[in-house]
Amino acid sequence: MKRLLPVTGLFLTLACFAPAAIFAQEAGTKKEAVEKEEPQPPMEYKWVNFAILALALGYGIVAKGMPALTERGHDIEKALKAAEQIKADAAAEEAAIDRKMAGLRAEIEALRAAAKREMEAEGQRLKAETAALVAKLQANAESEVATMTKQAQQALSARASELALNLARQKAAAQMNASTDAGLINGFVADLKQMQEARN
Amino acid sequence: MSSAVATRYARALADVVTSAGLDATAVLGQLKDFEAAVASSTDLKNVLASPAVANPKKRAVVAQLATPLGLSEKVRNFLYVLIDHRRVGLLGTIGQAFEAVMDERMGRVRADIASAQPLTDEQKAQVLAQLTRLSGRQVRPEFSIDASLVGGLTARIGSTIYDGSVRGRLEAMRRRLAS
Repeated sequence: MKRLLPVTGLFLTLACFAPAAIFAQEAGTKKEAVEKEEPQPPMEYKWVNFAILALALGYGIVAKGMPALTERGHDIEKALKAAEQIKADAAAEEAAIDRKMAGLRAEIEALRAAAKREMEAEGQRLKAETAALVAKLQANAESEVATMTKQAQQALSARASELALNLARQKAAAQMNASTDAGLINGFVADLKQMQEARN
Repeated sequence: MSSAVATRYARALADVVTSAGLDATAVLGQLKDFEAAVASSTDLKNVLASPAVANPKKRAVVAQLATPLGLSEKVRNFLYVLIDHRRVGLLGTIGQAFEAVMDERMGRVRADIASAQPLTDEQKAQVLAQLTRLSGRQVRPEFSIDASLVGGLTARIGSTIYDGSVRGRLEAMRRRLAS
């Protein structure tokens, strides 16, 4: 576009000065014809003058205007190609959208199916987890019951043994006399002897 | 802390007894007699324990008690030392430490023998002889009566307990039943 400005200016200048020269020449010719009747220049000069002017204009047009026009033409061609490319891209995009729209239903169905599968799997997982939890609770309860049973048995056994030993202590105290005590002391001395012999 | 202090005094007394060639048992008996006398009289205990009473007065009290209690000069001087250092309250602990120190120096061990019934001399001798053989050292027996044993006896030497009592056998039976 910048290259076109000097060329356009040249054309405008020539267009402005060319009619002025012609009018000045015509005005001068009529005035002179009125005031003094002078002989007209030969027709050949006019043609030569016109030819020089035409050549100058033609040279200007050919030398300066054609490249600008050619470049402008190239620019327009590029713009047209870009527009065509954009159009093609838009068409491709539209086609892709159409394809997506066409596949959307299938995709939704696939998503639904996947969601259903996941829900079923999650349900199975929760079911298994719950079953495991119940089993664990049951095992813990059984273990606790077993422990408590064992403790109760031990407590019962301890209580029974304590009662039996208390009874035995009472009986031993009631039956204890000097000879029994002497027997115990003799047994103690004998035990000490055995320990001494075992050491040796 | 008090045990360490008592041991220090006991070692000092043992040194005096050994160097003077005194009978350690007699010395210990005198200390116990004096301790029993102090324990039996609240007034005497207060006089010896009170910081308001001057040490010469306390010494005078001990000197008056020395003759009836049969305290030797060394024991009396030792009591003076305790009065001067305000350690009369540790007399019982010092006596125990003195026994231990003397046992250690004489290569003896103490045996605490408890029986449900009083032992005859023959039984004492049998038990003592076996404990002496078993420990490998001279045994100094301390006999006592413990009715809770029901029958038989127990002997403790250091941290070792020999249990020949009915109570011990019943206890062992209880452990077996509980396990």
